[in-house]
Amino acid sequence: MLAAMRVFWGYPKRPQGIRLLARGEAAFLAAAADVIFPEGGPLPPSGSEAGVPRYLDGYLRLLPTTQRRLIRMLFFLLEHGTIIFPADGRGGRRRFTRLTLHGQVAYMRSWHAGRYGWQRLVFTAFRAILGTAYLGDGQVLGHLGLGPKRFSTPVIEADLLWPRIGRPPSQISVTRHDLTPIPNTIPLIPSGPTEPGYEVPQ
Amino acid sequence: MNAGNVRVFAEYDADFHEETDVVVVGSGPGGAVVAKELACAGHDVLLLEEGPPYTPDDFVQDGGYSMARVMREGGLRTTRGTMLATMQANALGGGSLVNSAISVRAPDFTLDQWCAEFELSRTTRKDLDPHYDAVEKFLGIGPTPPNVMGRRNTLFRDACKTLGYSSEPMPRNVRGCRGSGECFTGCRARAKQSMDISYVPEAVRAGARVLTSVQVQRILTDGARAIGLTGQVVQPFTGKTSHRFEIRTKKIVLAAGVLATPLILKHSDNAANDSGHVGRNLQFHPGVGIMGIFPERTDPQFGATQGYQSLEFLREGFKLETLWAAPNVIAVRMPGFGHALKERLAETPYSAIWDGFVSTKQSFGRVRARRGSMTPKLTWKFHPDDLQVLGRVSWILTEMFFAAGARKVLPGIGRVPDELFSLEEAETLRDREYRHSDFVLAGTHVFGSTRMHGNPQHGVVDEFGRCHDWENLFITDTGVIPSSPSVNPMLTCMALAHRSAQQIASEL
Repeated sequence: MLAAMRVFWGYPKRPQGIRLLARGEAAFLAAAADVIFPEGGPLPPSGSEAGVPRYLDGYLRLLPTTQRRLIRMLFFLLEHGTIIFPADGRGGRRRFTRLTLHGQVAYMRSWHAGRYGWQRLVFTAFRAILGTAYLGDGQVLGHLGLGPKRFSTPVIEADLLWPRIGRPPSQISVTRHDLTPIPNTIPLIPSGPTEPGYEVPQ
Repeated sequence: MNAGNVRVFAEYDADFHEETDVVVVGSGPGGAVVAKELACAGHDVLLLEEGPPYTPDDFVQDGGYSMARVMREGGLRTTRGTMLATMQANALGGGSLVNSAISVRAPDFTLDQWCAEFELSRTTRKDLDPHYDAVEKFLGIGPTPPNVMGRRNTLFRDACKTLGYSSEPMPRNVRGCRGSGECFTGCRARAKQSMDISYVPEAVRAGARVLTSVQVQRILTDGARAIGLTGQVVQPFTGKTSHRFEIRTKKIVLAAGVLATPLILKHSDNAANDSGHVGRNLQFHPGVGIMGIFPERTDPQFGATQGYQSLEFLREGFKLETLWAAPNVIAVRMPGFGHALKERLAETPYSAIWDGFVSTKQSFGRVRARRGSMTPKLTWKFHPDDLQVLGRVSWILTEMFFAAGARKVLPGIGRVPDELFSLEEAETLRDREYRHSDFVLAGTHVFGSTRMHGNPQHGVVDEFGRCHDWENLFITDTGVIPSSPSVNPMLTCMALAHRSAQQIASEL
């Protein structure tokens, strides 16, 4: 009973737009993202502001079942790992999302610099997943000036052969009249326009 | 060209049956070359591909999403034993859709070694050069031009020059590269001559038919001859299987990839495996990427993804290159957390990543089949001697960064400080005893699982890719490459496939 309460009870409602993650997972990811990527500094958005849970919800939906399960187990391990590696201070065995911010930072630090190699490996894997999500945000990439550049894509003969994935050939949207020559190596430049959503903040 | 010759997932509404002269399984570099050459020679060719064809609108620039969509097992495939990440694409064009177009010939000493060690007599420089020539001409392979080099690549060139190492612009299969640095997520500029926009359309133009989203599961046999194939239609991204198909043919060419071809053979009552070598001798090019931070902006997202290389150390067993990928793929190697991590991420526009991979000599693995599954079980062991070479790669790259004026280097190696600020500090990388757990290993070049060997007892195919056991079954993916080609294997795979195609055409 206590175990079930620990796992299921007291999480906030699932945020809008999240389709796969359970509400506990979404809450854990938002909290953990703000510990790994706190607000402020050279990249202003925090992890949750950068939409880390929403990104990972979409990412997990794309993964095959086995890989998706493994990653969700990783989230579970870190949320409830306080049982094996309690955070400092009183109430250190509470699940991660119930710790104070100070406790959450100390707990993550204990995994980061863990005594056991597997602990550090778990943290590295988790940080990699969160890092993928954080830098998947257009605002963050905009701050770094690393957003994809906008340029026109030439229409080539292969484009006449198949439609977009999942569509029938009747939906091939280009004809031979649309064919364009490949530009003769006009290099892109850093000051060129970016794709929408990746603009450098003013 | 006729769009009707390419069938896509939305068109399958029932089980089906086909007949053809030759069926080619896999549209990556090994399969596409064979399909085009045979179709152009006037033969009836059916090219099968498990993945879907991509249009530019299907490309996603985000690294995580792109890998999850294009790569098998969501891009999270790893080996057991020594853990190594390896990626195989599932798309029309295979790995060529998402590689960085590197096209380098295997060096003389490697071909000499193959001939001596694997009892091959017709795989000399003189034998293979005409096939290299043909592929290079068709794809327009040439050195990366200066105007799309980008700072990241020229810094590598400068570092090599300062230290006296040879270096050169990377030879690549591109036409009209704009230096978008998007090779790994699909070339929106349509410059990269991946198989889906080069060899496959040419095969279609010559009359080949292409079935996409079909997974071959079993070879049909009649005594010692392969007579056809069976399999199922596969939905893109979900992998759900549906309608069944059967194809009858005179000859079969397997080019499903190093990790998939052995599975097809094993699921076909262990076909073509009298030698016992199917799935064995699996080898990778384990690599390491080192990041340097420079005082001035490098704008690393600009320029050819991998535009410069050094072949200086090939005989020592490693090759050095420049590297770039989507920012969120690059970010996974950043150390620390909290504000320290964010500060490091903020330095990405000042960074360059260079990588090196090892031509392992003693590290082998195995591909095994799982019952009822087309997902392989992979094991691999990194030999300590090969591991020490990877350590030397790390030191050389670090030395190069400081020679090029880097402010600091982030080696990303266990038991080594997260940041090194001088060559003196970097001395820790020299002459140390490395453990494999020190590295986050990745190996995208894979070969050897159906190796060619002159002696049927020690290999799966002969020099023309023909299975020793079955005369009408050929293999043309990188599985036939018997040991490390010392360089990126794509071009060598294509040259060998070109030779196999000529042999098959002469027999039809």
